[in-house]
Amino acid sequence: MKSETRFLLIMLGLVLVLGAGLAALNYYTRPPKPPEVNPTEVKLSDVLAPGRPEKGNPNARVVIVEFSDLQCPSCRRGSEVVEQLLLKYEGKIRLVYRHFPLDIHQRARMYAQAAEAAHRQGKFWEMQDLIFNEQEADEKRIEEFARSLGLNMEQFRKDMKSREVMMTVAQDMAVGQRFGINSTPTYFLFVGDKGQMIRGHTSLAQEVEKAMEGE
Amino acid sequence: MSSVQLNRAMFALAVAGLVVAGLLWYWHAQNAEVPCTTAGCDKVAQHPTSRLFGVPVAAYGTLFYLSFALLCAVRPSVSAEKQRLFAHLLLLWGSTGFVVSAYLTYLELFVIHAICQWCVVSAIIATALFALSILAWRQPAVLTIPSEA
Repeated sequence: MKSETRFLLIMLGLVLVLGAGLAALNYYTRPPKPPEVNPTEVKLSDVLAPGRPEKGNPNARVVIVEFSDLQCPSCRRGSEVVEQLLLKYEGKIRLVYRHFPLDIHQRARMYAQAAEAAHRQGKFWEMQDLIFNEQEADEKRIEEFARSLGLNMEQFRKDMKSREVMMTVAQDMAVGQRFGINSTPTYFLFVGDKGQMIRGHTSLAQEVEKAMEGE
Repeated sequence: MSSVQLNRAMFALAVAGLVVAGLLWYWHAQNAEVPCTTAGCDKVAQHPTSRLFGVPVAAYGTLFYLSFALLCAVRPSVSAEKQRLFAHLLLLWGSTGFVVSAYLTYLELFVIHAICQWCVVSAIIATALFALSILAWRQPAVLTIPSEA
């Protein structure tokens, strides 16, 4: 074999080894895929948990489970849609809230913990409204919100940083991830035990109206 | 361009094509999103014509470029008589690559209606390989390696 051939084969070998190495590195460091769950086969019991904030008629057959991020503008608009639906179909809808703070929102997790701490004193929805009204609020401002709601501040501060509250938020997120949620707001709409996933708030009202026709 | 330089140029182009086709094959196999500046890569990658007999087109491309590079690499070491045969083989391979690339570009433009930058790069490389393989075919058959002449 002549040196020219040897040179070219070594070059080719280097490229192949480098390529295979990079492919292997990429393959083994890729993020794990969330297990595929068919959203049309979601059961109500899969996305409910005791003690989550809720509104409406607790015995209603139509249930909306909302996965939301308090720093997300689209979630704020979504909560207005849900509010209107609760008014329109008073007594016929149950709304359950679950946290899904996205990493892209720097304060979303802190907001989730604040709302959860307020929930321990029965003021979740009030805190949600205050945060939604001012999605730039820092921690000091959040404390002002808590004070304005008449919360026990010592308890609020303690709860906000507590392991239990953080675990609750993490558990909500784990449920969302299990069903492949990657954006907020995401809703699960149930009629009885039959559920469907709805990404974003734009089609929510329409789907709820459809569900109500059969009721 | 001397025959050795020409051979190296073809080799380098074939390796570049190998990298592009290999990447596309990998992305296809992983069902990954194809990084794209022309916005059409995923449309092309997900089109039924991106597979032939159940095998991704990028896999054929990878084998094409790999065999082209191997032909160029082995060519300086074969006997004088066989070098003529290698020049014919390179021209045959170069023209095949050119025709297939032209057909794939036609599919992108008129059937899929989307352009993928990676396919364009591959088509340019295949065209250049075809041009160089004509030059190599017209040159004297025997490669003269300066250091070993």
